[in-house]
Amino acid sequence: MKKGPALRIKGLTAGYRNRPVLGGIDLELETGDFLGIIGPNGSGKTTLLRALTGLVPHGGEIDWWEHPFHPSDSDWLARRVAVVSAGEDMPVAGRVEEYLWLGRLPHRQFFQFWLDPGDRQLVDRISRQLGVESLRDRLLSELSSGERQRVAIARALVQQPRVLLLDEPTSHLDPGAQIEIMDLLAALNRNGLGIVAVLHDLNLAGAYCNRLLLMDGGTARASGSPESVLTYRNLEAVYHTVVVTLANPVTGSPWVVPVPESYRRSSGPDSNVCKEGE
Amino acid sequence: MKTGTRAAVCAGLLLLLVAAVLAGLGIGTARIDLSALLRSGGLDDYQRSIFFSLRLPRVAAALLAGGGLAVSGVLLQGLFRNPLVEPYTLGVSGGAALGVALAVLLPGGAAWRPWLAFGGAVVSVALVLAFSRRRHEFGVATTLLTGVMLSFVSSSLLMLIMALVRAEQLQGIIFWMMGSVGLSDPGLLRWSAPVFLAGVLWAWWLAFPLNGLALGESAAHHLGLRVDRVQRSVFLAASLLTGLSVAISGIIGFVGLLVPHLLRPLLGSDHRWLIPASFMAGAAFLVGADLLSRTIISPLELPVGVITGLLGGSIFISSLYRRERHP
Repeated sequence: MKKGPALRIKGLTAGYRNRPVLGGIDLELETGDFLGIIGPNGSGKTTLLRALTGLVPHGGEIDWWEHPFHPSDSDWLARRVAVVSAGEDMPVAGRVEEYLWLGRLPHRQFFQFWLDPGDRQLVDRISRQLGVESLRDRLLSELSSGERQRVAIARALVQQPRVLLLDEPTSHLDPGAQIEIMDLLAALNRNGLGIVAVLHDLNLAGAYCNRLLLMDGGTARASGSPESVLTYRNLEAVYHTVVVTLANPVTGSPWVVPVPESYRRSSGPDSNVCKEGE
Repeated sequence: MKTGTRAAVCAGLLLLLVAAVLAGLGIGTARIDLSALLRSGGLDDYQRSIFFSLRLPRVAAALLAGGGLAVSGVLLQGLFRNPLVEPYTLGVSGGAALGVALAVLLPGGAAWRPWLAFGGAVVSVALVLAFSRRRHEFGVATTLLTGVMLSFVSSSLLMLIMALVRAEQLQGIIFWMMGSVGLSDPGLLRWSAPVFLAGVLWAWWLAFPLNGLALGESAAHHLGLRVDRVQRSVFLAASLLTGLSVAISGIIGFVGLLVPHLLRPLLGSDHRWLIPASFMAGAAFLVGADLLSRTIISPLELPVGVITGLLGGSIFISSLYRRERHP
């Protein structure tokens, strides 16, 4: 495969009509990176992801594998980059099997109507790898949130991407399912798949990503290793709250601990919190 | 859903269609022995003229219009991601009928008819699309209400035209508003049959992109589809099939709703199966409904739209309520 970064963006601006969201972002993604995009609601994380695939019009440069990207190259990009967005990209009706097959759509030849045996083996292999084999005959509407996420990732892998973009892959999942999904992504990343994930959970981001991009108000507040990004200075400025950053006792990765309001205020000068006995 | 099951369903539908066509050709106020047709001199001149100038065009019209409306329904349902839309509920049939009525006003009108029907269908779909686009996603209720209102607007314009035309032209327009396969123009049938089949094949070819579109516009884009192009093709194919169907048989409601609704539980939502199956089932259904409409109170004839309307309307209401209970 080509040398050089998988993705390079320079001075990226993007937004919706009359409402610019991104104000100039620079970023490079190496092929083996697991990049986490973090930041408060409305800071432009999802818009950044959407701009990368041409869903929102952008200014500035987006180079995928040193190929200047234009939104009309969606078929070219779909053979290289797959997207799992936040929960809305499943049809209301239909079975898991049919949904998985849709991942072959970008690889379809112009006159191809049915899928060939190679496609079949690929779908079989990926469903085994992701443990969704037993779900293949189920209706999409019957799946639990965790199963849906797994199936959505399986569909994305059927596209045989080199980079996987995910928008909040762990939201609405219980802690066990969250870890399961993140472990799965980490395993895929070890096998060479580049991963870019918008994450809300800072501790998951710190534990799994090798690079983080902290966004605030449409710009990059900080970017780099989790240790350099997840500092209390950065986080308090961006999230307007008080946090303490420790080290995860097992992995040593940054561990962000929130501080509830009562503890913040009781030590402050203008405390008006109900005290004990009042 | 196994491929074998689906193939069996399609084979069954093909048999059903053949049976419906044979029954439609053979049964009527004058019974015609179809095997006699194959023997030379098996039919007398009277039977021969009934068969070739009445029965055959009628069955052909029902076959094409039924199949066309059913496929058009599947296409519109895929385009709007809403299983309750179809040419009639979206006002597309109404727009096409308005085009047909305009053709009655024009000198040499009959030749314009299919084109104006197609034009009316295109304008209607474009309007519904534009209105529901303004709200980013196609809300089920918004889309349906827009379609129903569009039907009202086109039927008001139709009535305006009816008020303006001469009495003998009036009857031609009423025929298109009621919907019947009995009076279609054999010349139109002859040239529109290949166009119909081309339209159905075109629709079939759009099946794979339509499957992708079922995920929503963003996800379809991420699967590499040029969403705007796919939507435009689907929209033109649906308008073509609806326009031609209306030019042939007038407004026949609910075929495009009824047929896919009954087929989805058997075939799943894969358009590669759904589109050809809908063509066969829609054709068989309308041929059968027409047979029923002209035999049930024979020698009088019931408009075939009455039968499709009664069946389709009740299924529409029941599935609308089921959706409300399990959203």
